[in-house]
Amino acid sequence: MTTLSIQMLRKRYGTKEALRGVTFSVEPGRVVGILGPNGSGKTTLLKLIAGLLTPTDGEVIVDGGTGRGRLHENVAYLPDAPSLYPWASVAGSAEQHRRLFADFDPGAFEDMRASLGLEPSAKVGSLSKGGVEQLGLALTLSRRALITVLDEPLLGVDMHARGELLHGIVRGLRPDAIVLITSHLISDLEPLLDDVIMLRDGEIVLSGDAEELRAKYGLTVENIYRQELAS
Amino acid sequence: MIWLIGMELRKRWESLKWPGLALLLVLSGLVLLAVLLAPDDFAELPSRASGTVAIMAMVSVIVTVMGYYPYVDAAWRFANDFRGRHAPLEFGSAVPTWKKLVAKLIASVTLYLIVIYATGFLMVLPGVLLNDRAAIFALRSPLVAQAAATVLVTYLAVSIYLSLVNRTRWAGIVAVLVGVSPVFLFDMAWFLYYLDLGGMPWYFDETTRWVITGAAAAVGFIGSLVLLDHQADI
Repeated sequence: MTTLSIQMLRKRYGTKEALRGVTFSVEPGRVVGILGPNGSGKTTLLKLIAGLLTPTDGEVIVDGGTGRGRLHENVAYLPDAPSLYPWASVAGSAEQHRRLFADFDPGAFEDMRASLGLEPSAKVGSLSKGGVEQLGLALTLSRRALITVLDEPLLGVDMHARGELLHGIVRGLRPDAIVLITSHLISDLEPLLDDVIMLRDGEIVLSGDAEELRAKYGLTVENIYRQELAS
Repeated sequence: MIWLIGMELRKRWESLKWPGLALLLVLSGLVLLAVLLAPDDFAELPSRASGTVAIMAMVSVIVTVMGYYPYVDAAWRFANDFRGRHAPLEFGSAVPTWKKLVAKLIASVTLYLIVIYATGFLMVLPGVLLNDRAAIFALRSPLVAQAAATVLVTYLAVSIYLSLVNRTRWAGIVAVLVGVSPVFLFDMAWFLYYLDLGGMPWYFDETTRWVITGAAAAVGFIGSLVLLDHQADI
């Protein structure tokens, strides 16, 4: 059974159509890169999968079932802008996640927090931009969710921490879990990717197994992206 | 549920503490000044000569602003939690919507009671110090109150609409119902007072009026929750 199935998904904001009938599915254990220029519909797609928006048409099917409750229970979502409360401490933010999300693993968070050097007593508001990004990512990855959705997780993260975070993305995953990830830093992300979906103007222009695409084009995913979305 | 309520109160405390403290300090200063300038025994209404009229006008505006703060906070909190940057945390959780909304409601009512008692204490303080005529301090500024109510109802309705517009087709209906309901319920209480059945005026006593109004509010609130939690699946 596919873990995630997207069926003819459409999303309209007033007169603007952000997604125009997107269809794809993801098998268990895959890391999928959603790539595309600004305004291509990446964030809208991720928000629909996370159950934060309602589709104009089409369905998001998770593990054979639909409904927003199912999405909230099974999808861990990291937004492109931090959603944490600035007055909460690092430890307090973890406690909020433990209370709000049944699949949150405090032990996994503690390991990641320690390796990133985040002080438990530090207030979110006092952390650097990169620090907040790291904390948000650590909290999201500490959920043992079936689907992890990461919207630009490397934005504002320095090169040193980037490696640790990329490692963290796949380290604690359930064997049946999938990861959907967007980033403009494709070269950093490329070693992680099993599948690639390229979007432009709300439509899929190219998708497939990352290894097969590299073999077919004789290029890296980053260069395929440049070639396909520049044309 | 207890934790959710605590979390909501913490959010309100974090947004309230500095502006609230500043308002309380200004209000305390004005009240103290009014006491110092007031006639010896407060036996008569304040006069222009005593200088207390201007101070009381300022006091009444500040009291009105403080009295409306819980409503402003509730509307702003709704927009910030459900439309703003914290939406992924608030919406992403599988905690049932009704629990989240009830926690917000309880926190808003608690904040309202705290503000009312805090301002009330300040208002009666001169009375304690002098005599009970100081109750005139409890005056509210009708102009400010009317303007604040209009702005608030509009802001609340717009916030709700913008929070829901990309999530449910019921956004407009819910926004109008929830946004306008405080005004509607207030009017309903007065309507019941003047209800005329078959030419025979039927004056409900005050308790009955507010029980009926409260029941209507409860039905509206529960109806909204059902609509949001099940049909709109917010």
